[in-house]
Amino acid sequence: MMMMMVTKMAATRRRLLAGGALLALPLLTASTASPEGRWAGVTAMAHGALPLHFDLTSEANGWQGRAILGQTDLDGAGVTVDSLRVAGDSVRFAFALESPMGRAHIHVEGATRGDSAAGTISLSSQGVVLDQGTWTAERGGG
Amino acid sequence: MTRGATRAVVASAVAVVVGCGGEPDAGDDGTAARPLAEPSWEVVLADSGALAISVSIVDDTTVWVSGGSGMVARTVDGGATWSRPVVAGGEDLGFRDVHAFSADEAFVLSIGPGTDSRIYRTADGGASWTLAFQNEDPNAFFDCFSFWDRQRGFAFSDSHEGEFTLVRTVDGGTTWSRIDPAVVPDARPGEGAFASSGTCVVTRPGGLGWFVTGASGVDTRVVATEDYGRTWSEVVTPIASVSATSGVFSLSMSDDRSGVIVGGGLAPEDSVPVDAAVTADGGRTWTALAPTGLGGAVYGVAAVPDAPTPTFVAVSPAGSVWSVDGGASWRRIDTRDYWTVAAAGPDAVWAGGRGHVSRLRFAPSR
Repeated sequence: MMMMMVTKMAATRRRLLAGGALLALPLLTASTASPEGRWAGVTAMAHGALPLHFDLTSEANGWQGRAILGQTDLDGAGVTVDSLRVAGDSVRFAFALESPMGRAHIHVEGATRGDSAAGTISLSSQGVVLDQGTWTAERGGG
Repeated sequence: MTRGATRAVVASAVAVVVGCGGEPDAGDDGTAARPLAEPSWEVVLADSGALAISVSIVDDTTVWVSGGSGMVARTVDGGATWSRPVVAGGEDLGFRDVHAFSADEAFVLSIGPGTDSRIYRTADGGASWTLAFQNEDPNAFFDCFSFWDRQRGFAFSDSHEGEFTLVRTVDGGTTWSRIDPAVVPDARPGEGAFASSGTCVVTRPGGLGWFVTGASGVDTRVVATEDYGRTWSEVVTPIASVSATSGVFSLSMSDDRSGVIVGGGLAPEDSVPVDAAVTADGGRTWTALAPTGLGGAVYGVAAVPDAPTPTFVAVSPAGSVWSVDGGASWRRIDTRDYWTVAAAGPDAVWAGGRGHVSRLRFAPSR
């Protein structure tokens, strides 16, 4: 919704994004394992803690993934991620979920260290940031 | 003002509005009617991959549900079994509103920019669907629709350049034409509705109709017609719009005069202290209610017709609450995620959300 809101909410969006820039991506170094696998975690956002699950696989044609936010189980509810990029221990992907303003886009960035991972997450719809924060996850859950 | 004083003021305001003093109506034998009690949700459709966003109750046994990713579901036995019709060509659309007339006849509305805003109809229980309307205006984004009868209905789109786009059918959905913007109140910049529950548009027999707004960052409004959309009037509500992500999300009318609205804000920074309001004059005036306690944005509300006391059920992804005193106070039902709720009576309260459709069961009256 709200084709006009993009312009109207520009100031709000700038403020939110500026705040987001202050959220330091946890520095996780000395990675010894690939991000491949099933991860179960939780977010820390203004709207509260939500379950975050994702599953990353390295295939012949590149990385593939599924993810879900706000559900306790990846199976059934997971959606295919896009813009998936894996470089070393860092991972970045996006997926879409429904919101009252139309389709909401979830952007996830982070890094793995062994069987742990952490990073930042943001939710936006129609160019308006709805929420953002951080996440942590452990390999093998969900 | 103390919390207790605030509660007292709200309760007295509600008493004036609902005309029942927040107390139960007298029963036939002169004793106070006993409010409904001990509600609990019975999950009647579980699908972890589905998001149910709109419910249309036809009668005691027939209910239609629509939702994200092309979801349509129908039961004709009170929820015991479900069919899952597929709308050919709409498998990826978000069907944010459904309006059904029978077990065979129903319309679904999909949201989205430009041509993603569509209306499909079926006359065979969902076995086949016809594209009844497809928006061609790149600036339109349809949110909700409703019908007065099998022939007449209207659909609502967010505004663009100060004008709402309303389209109307008078031939059962075969053709749709835009209502002259000159007869519709001008829109604030950015003003629109939220497609959270298929309840931003409501109709009642006889030509009564309403749509609710937000997202302007100025205020929220209820815009009403009493003549099938030929003329419209507006009123500002007590629910604030402090941003593009806040406003009124849902309206429910239990009769021509009594109704309730809910809303709030999606963004954490949205501060919307009043998230519910009530009318007793068909929407001409609105009085703030006690906060539902759900926090954030309240996605859907249903006023329960024929309840012994003024009874509301409100839902959001944070859970569900209910009131048996016309909104003077609210109590938690549970924390299951719901987007939409609809009610045709105390025995017909249905809700949908992420992964489930549920039916509300009250304790047997004693």
